[in-house]
Amino acid sequence: MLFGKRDLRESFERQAEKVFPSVLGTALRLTRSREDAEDLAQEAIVRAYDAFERFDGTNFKAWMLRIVTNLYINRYRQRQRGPQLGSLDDEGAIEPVSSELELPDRLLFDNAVGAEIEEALAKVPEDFRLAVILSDIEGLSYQEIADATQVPIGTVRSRIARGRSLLRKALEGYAMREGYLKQGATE
Amino acid sequence: MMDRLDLHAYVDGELSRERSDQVKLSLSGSAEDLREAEAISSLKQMLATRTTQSQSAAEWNKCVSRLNEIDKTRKVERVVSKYAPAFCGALLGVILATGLLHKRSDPGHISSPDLAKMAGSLEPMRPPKKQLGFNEDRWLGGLINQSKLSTPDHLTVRGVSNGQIGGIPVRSFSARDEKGDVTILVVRQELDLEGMTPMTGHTNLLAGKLNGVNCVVQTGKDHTIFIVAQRTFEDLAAVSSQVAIR
Repeated sequence: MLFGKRDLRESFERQAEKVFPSVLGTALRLTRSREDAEDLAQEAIVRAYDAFERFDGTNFKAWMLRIVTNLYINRYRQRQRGPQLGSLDDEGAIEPVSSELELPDRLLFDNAVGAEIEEALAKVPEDFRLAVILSDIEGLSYQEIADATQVPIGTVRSRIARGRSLLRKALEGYAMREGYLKQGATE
Repeated sequence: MMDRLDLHAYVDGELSRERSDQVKLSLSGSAEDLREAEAISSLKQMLATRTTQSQSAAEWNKCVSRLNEIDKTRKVERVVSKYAPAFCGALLGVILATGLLHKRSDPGHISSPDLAKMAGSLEPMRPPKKQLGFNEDRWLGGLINQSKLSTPDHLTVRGVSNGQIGGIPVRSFSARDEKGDVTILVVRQELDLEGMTPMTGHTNLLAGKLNGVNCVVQTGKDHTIFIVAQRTFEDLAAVSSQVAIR
């Protein structure tokens, strides 16, 4: 990138500010803690700024979310994760649920419109949740999700399908009430 | 029934055109698959539109502050790495210049540790040819020009040595009286002393320690005399009262 120091900072700040709600939202949905999410988002911004000269200029949001995800996987998940039961990529895996001690999602997010969805999402096992967040909330492609989570595209496909399936079960009533699902559309 | 992963990928627009056309064709012939595809699509839409975006202005401001700090640090690092040798040279120059300036502008300044060094750096004592009193002029020749020291007869000089501290000439007398040995250091100029405090009851004397040994200092217009011995300050003051430049 042919930027001067000031241009580099301005360019980074302009793009980062635009995607910051996604960065913070993803961090919140991953960490389930406001404090950890703020730390994670801030750390991601600092890392991204350090590496901005090497950014290829294609999809800034996907690049930022990849940094957040990598940071979370490498640092926060080790700290937060309890014992894992079975393989998450295995359709028949026993699914760990989120801790009861975690904050209610209506406290993490600032309005109650999507609180029910956030609560259901929080109960989806982490790797499935991450795939669904990046795909359906943040709009990343399978390849971008594979890059962010460092797994093959086939694994991304199965995680998305599995995550959505779990969400559908949890949100069936809500989706019907809100008109997103018709009677008889359940699995 | 169609492969579920293909159905999700179809809804996500992640299939090749050819495979996508196949799925589309297959959906037109299967109500169940079509309902499933619609359900996936609805869920996707619900997640995209109904999830909340966290308020992030305050957090973003914190990030901007961190970025500002990083920029400042980088700026300093750049300047330091570019000019480090020059900085070091200049700093060294300033230190040396300050030292020289200080020495030149305040030649009479001397600290207690310097005094200790002063006593240690003098030439070895040489015994006088015979026991001499302080009032014998030949001891004083070259010490303080035409000035003379006088002492009571009972204070006997047993040896003398010469030296310099920072260019200041010093003469050290080894003397003895009825209480034992006393070292008397004579400097031919008035000194600005550190580590010495005015002595109560003796307006012209300062008291302190030299290498852990008690010392009183008598200062005059053109001389400074140190009386050093393992005695009380009062005893040293008594000796001092009997030693004067004449």
